[in-house]
Amino acid sequence: MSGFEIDGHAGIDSPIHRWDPRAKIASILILIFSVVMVESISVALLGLALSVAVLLASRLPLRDVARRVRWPVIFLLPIFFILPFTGGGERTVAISTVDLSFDGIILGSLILTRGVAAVILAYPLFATSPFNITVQAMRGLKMPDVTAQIFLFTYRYLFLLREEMMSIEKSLASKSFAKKTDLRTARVIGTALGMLFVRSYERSERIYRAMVSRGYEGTLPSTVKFEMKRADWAKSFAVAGAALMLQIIDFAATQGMII
Amino acid sequence: MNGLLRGDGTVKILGRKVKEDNLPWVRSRVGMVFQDPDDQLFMPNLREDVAFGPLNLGRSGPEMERDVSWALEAVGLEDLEGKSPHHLSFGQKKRAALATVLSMRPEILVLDEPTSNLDPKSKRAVVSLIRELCDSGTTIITATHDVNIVTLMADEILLLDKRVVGYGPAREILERREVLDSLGLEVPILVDLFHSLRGCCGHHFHKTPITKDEAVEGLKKILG
Repeated sequence: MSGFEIDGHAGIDSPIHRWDPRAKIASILILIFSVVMVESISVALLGLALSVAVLLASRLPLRDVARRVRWPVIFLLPIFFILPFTGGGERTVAISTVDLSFDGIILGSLILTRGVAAVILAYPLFATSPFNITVQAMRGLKMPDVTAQIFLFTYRYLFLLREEMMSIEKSLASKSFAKKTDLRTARVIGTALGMLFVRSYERSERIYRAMVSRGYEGTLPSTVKFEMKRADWAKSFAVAGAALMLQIIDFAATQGMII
Repeated sequence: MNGLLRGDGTVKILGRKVKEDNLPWVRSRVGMVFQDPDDQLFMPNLREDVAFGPLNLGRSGPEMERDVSWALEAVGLEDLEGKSPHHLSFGQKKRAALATVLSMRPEILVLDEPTSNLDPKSKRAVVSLIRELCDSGTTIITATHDVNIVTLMADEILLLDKRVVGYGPAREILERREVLDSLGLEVPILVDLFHSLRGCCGHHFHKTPITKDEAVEGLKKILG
């Protein structure tokens, strides 16, 4: 399975996969917003636990999710390591010549936990339905048609773009081109990317002609029909309720009502 | 041909001049299959792609479903209807591209190099499909450089080199060896063979064989 293919496990049977995609997107988005808005580290950890619970319910292969989560986490890690040294505050611990800020450690952990929880939730959100169904569901949630078309075509042609880039790379390699950190490499790569851009531009014109010749007048027709069942409502209330609970507990924790 | 490109002169489809205000009508009658199937297959899965045209024509429900299923069956891809285009082989993509237009049930089908880059088996499948469609009453216009498939499916040939160089029944055009050569085209293998035989055996054919059956008959005559 290629790394671009987010919906490779859309065929699994799980409560999240069976969920009406519109309700799933709306509910999980609410949960994501709720998790990233919490101020208390202990509530953020609770949010992380909820994210993992949703992920486990989706039965997505954990190894695959871990592989994908890795990159966003690598982006978050610097914050986690830098804030303890720059966080300031009154509570500090002196280690050798540097002061470790207790507030910085807490803030770094909070940002990392919220980030990881949100990234984990993105997988049950996007990987449990075929991508076209996800986009149709977003249209059902009043996302503008043009945006939906951009999403669909981007997803469709991303694979082609990668194939074209790979064929350009193979062609460079077969002419004994080796990447180095010099101006010539930059120039060659720049030319290759420019070539890719020109090819994509020309292809987009041909695609548009193919669409127009099949009666396209600006809107994308859809055959997908969604229907909310009782179980869909139940799952939605459970997840949205959990999001609300997180906010209530967080409010109580930040006001000092609970520890 | 269906109003995609503008130029001088006029094009008439089924007796009507192509104009801005009748383009939807023209496009519902003339189906165009582009050379690169990746340009034609833009939806996330095959069934949605095949349904794109009929839905734009305002068809829906069982009528649309029937057209989509028929087109997928016609090209032999009914088992792959849920697949994404990037999961199909090139030959399957070529046939899928044809299905996306067939589902609109056009009266005229315009194909741009339908057999280019295909393996022999896929090429045969596409040619026999074109032949079947032709026999069932669809007018087919094919642009191709592959002269050997022309003998399998064309009734008439229009030779183009920026302008019309020749137009007439397939046999008549394929026999004009010097014209084909001057355009950088191959002479069909059977025509080439029988031209050579004519020179060495002194046999005279009223008509140069262009199909396999005609060639067999011709060889029988030569061998007595």
